[in-house]
Amino acid sequence: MNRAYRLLAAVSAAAFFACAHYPVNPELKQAPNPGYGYRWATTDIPTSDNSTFVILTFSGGGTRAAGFSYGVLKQLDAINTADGKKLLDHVNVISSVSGGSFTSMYYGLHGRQGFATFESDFLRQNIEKRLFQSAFLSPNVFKLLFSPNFHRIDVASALYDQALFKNATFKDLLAIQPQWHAPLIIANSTEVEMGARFEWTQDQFDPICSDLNGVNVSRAVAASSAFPGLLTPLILDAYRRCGYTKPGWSTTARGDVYVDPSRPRMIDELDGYTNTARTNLHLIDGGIADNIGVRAPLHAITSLDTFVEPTRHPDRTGFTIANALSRHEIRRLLVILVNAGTSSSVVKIDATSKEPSILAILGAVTGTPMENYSFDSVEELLSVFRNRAVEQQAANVANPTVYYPVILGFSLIKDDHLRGIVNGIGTNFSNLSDEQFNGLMEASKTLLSQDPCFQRFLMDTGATPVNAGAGQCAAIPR
Amino acid sequence: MYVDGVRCGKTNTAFNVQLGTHTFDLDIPDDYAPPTIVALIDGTPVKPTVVAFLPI
Repeated sequence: MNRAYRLLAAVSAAAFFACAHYPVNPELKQAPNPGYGYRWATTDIPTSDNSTFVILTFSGGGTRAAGFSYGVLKQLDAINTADGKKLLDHVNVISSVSGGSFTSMYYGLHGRQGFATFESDFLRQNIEKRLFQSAFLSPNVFKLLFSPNFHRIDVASALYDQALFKNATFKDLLAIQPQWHAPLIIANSTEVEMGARFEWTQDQFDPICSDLNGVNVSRAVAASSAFPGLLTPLILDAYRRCGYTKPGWSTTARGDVYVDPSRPRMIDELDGYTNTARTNLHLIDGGIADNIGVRAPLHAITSLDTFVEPTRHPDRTGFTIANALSRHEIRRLLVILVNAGTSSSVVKIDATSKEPSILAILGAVTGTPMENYSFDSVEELLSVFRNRAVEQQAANVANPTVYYPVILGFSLIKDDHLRGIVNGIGTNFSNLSDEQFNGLMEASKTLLSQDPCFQRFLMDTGATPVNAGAGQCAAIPR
Repeated sequence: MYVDGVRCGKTNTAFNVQLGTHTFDLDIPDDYAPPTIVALIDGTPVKPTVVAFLPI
């Protein structure tokens, strides 16, 4: 009898845990409208004075990236601008990937008031250990065992809510934005099957007829940092009944393959997102598609193409500033790339004639294309900025826009000791030691202080303090 | 001046547009012809491409 009861109890428990399900993203119950949901057009940024426009990009790299980007935010908060504010108050957009998305999203929710808690609740916490405990040393293990609809990434997003985001949704993020003119936060992931970049804004949710307002921001951060293998892809449901129509440019630009192949490629992606056979999306680490988070801003600088059909009176578009640049409403564009990629000088594979392990080879196979693509992205940004300057000079534009690229990376740190400390921080979500934390703060300060283009921007805008000895910014023509 | 439905600049001024095929129009009032012009912008860094509307 006892055995029968035990069996019944076990079966009941298994059935109970088998019902566990990932949090479903809600369906969009209205026709897509650029005036609804968390996106560029619903923030107060497009209608504000954007004569000085500041974009930050935060790379991946676990807690190392989160700490480095946090250090940069704190440094910008220490710079006084000519209008009596801080440079941090002038940041308009943050595009982030993986570890950098923890910082960007927390900043979007809490602003500078969240600095202290971000350090104590995230940077100094061993999130990786807590994730392991939450997945395997709690009832979650039974959900993972018995439910086909509950995955390790769902444990991760729940933990991020518990530790950091307290169930805040994108609706909350949107409501907070105008209260302190917060930047637009774009957390980037990668759609597995299409290999496409996926931005967590309503612009991207329109084609799948889903309402981002009802989604916790922790889901975006989890998807943005879901490193393949360690974490499972985050699953979104795709719906088809909201009446989404593709924007007009997607018809005219389909044949532009020899003029600008990025346009037909983007149409391919849009076709993929609207393909009715695609009932779900599977999202992994944004670093796979763009590990430094620069592609979204680069596209917005150079292109009017978005997944959103623009409206007039009022003018609302998807995320683009190409129109504001063409109208010269943006007089100074500052883009700061915060790249926490490491440049280790430690020789491992080549220190022996032995065959490298499969893991070492897999690391190289996945890491090398990501690093090369990041390098190409930086080159492209610099090339766009340089060409714009040359074009404006050639056309004798009366009030040209000045483009300031700022590249922050550990390999630029001149001090061997400091460079060794920050390069030695692993790509994981372990807690930072005092030495590591202080090293990242010092690296942020040093890199901004020595960067000639950043210092040129400060001089041109009357901000203080300025390091006059930083040298000439070669990216800006004299 | 609207490009692909996005307000981009004023008539009789030069402005940057991504390379490719674009739809140009002047919005309201509808006192120019044609209502829209689809033109290929294929890379003219020094000499701008001219998209001409005529008053009606």
